[in-house]
Amino acid sequence: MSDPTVLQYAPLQSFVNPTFWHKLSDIKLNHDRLSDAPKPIFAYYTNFNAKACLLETDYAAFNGDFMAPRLYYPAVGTLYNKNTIEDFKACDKNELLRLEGRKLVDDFRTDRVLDDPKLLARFFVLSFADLTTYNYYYWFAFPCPLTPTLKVENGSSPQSLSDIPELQHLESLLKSQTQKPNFFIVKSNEKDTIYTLKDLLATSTAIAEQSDELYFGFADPSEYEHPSWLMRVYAAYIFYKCPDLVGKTVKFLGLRYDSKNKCDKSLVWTVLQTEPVRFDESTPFVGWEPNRNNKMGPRMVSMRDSMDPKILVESAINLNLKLMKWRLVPDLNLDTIANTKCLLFGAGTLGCNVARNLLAWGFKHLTFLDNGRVSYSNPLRQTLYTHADAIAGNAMKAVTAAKRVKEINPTAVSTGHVMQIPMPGHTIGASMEQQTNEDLNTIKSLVEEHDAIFLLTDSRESRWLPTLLGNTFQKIVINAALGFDSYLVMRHGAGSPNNAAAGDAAQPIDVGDLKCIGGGNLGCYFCNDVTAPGNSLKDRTLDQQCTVTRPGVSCIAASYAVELLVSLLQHPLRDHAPAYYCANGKSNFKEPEGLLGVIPHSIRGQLSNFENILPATQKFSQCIACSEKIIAEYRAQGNAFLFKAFETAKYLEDLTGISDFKALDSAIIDFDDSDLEMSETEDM
Amino acid sequence: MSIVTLNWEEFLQEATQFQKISERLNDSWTLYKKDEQEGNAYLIYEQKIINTVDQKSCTDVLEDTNYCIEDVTAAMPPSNYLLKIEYHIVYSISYQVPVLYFRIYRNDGSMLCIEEAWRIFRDYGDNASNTNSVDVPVPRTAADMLSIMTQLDHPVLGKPYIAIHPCRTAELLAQAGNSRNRILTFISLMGPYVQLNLSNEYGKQYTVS
Ligand SMILES: [Zn+2]
Repeated sequence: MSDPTVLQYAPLQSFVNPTFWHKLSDIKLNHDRLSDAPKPIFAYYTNFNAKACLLETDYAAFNGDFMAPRLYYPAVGTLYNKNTIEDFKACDKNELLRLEGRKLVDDFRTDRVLDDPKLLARFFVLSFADLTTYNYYYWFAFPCPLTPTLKVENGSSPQSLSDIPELQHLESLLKSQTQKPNFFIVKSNEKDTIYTLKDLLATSTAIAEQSDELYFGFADPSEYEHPSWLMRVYAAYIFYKCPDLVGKTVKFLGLRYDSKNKCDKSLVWTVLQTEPVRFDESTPFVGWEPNRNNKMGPRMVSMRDSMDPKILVESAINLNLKLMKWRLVPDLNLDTIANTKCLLFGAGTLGCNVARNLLAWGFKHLTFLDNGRVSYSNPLRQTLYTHADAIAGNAMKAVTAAKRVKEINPTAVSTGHVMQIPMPGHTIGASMEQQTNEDLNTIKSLVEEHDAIFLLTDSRESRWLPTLLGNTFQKIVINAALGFDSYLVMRHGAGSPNNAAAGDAAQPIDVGDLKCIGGGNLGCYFCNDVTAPGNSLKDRTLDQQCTVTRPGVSCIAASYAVELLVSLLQHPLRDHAPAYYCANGKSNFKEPEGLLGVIPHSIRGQLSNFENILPATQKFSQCIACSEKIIAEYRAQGNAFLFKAFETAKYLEDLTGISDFKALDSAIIDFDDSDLEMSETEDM
Repeated sequence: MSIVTLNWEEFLQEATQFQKISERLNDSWTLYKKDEQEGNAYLIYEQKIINTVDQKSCTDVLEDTNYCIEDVTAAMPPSNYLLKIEYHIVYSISYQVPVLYFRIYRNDGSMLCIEEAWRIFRDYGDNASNTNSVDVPVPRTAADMLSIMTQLDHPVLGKPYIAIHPCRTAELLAQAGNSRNRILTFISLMGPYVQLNLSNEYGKQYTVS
């Protein structure tokens, strides 16, 4: 520390209410626009139960008729809000401080401070409001001329008001004042008067003679032993105004109220100014507030969390999820969910409902792939569309769905791709070859770019390509299909890397009579089939194509599909999480659970009895979509392989040897769920 | 289970009365009235508390050492920065009780999130015994905090604030027994959870009169 006989001050600390930034932004956008002319602003401070040594400001700072809040005193300032960060940085801070300092000294010289003592409580702010990022750069200064230092009498300890008998009347005298004074003078020999500065200083001739009786009072926002910075400005003015006081001991009274409204903790500093206080062109000024690193420099605050509408929406949306995490599932990993990119094949009833549920869970990255348009019958079940979309006549589902997703959650990233999914057995004409090649490349890269893939299309054949790609690129694949009053939701077995054998990751461990299938050995949608997906749409009437479903079936299946994905994402093995099944009905053993409970391979349910069963089935080594042979062939030949499959589904059967197999006996590999006749629905 | 509820007129009347007492005691509660509609007036109180959550020093990246005039008369500023809490006592039309909303911000205007608020009040619970609050069990665990504090949209301002769950308020008010001013009772009950401690003088205003 410095010379103990030099009086030190507690610097003022800026305290900015968030509403200040709101108002500043509002004014900048709607009034000032490109003007960066200085603006008068206000702030306030208190000496009632004061903490630290604060100067506070809020939205009211910009009011011409500013009124300090109850128990606060006003401070007078100027805002220099720059248009760019470059202007902000380039601004000559020394010059600005000098400019503001001279304004203050001018108010001394012209005695404006006598009429309006709040001019002594002085500040200014240099700022730059980046309204696109909600970053605010700001630097407060409390200008004061660098005057000769004040020496402290009696060592360095101030006296407490309670220890000064001649001021014992002050407490009750102040109580009688409705408006508490900010700067004032009291005399020890006059017990009934509180003088304004103007009362005694307008004609300052006799001041020096009375100096023993005088106490120069000020509302002191400091909670420390040091007086607040305000006294520094105050003292500069007093010794400038009353040069006769130079060389005399002068008493300053920092008025401070405690939480019980008593002012006996107020402090009195007895000081001596040995050199005259004069101002000229070369008078230096001080007062820039250090930043929070305690270095000279501006501060920066990001107000994004409370000002950016997108963030506000997001935090509102996430609130329910956070409450779930806070109250019920502390280990829930919401970041994983927010970071998982979902690709939805199909934007019909299932696609819309899956998207809705994904949004509800906090998924933010949704991509749609669909080639349909919104028709009049769609909006009733396809929950992302409205009648107006149908009237428009040309609204593509994929694009409209993506638009709606962003309307529901502005922070979501969503795009729609209008595209037909090529299907086995659906021959591609020569004219379409190039287009199909491009589409295949697009679909392939979309699969690669996403983490989870939903198969929500209206036909079995259209699921073949996404199944194959999902397996090849080791994506989580969730499949949902609907019957009239039944549904199937399943996860496909995890794909394995190019060089690894299928399902070599974790050794499945049975639990009693519960059989375990490792996630890599679970079947896909096509594993349970013995035939390749021929052209199931061919030779059908329209009615047959559009499988009629009970309206709730799609909502139920879509919900299960999303919940199944979430359960998987919360499991450390993700899609490699094993599934369990009991060969003989109900098991007595408890099925191992993930964070959110069991993770079945498939959920098959029906509304006729409101029941679900959770079968788990092995991967079929001759599957026409996920078997090693197929994947290897695709890896080797790429699109050329796909074109052969599109040419004739028989190609796949021959390749996997399934045609021989089928000739053997199809009943053997039929699964025991014939009571649940699954069919796929047209997306109505 | 007995409960105590207030209708809007009672809330407004007792809030006004409470504000008058505050003024008499030179405390700084204010009553903000947006308009005459039911529910559109609330009590406001502000106070500063020590920032116990921000450990990391800071992020002010720009520096301007050119502007540092050697000045022996400025005492070093304290490193302990303060937080400001803004409390609102708002009327809940659906629960028919007062609800305590609040938000906390730093000296730069940035807002604390609810997790940080929990940490503040949880830490605060450890040494709350020296306050002059009425006796309520002081929350100590995260689970306690979760069960009493949540984020809600402020009914008048429409912005997210932290709130103390109103669901048990009517019950607690009933347990507190006869009350001359239920706003005062409410603040005495809920306040200590969030460092809002009314001075004993408030109670005396009623015992005297
Ligand atoms: Zn398969």
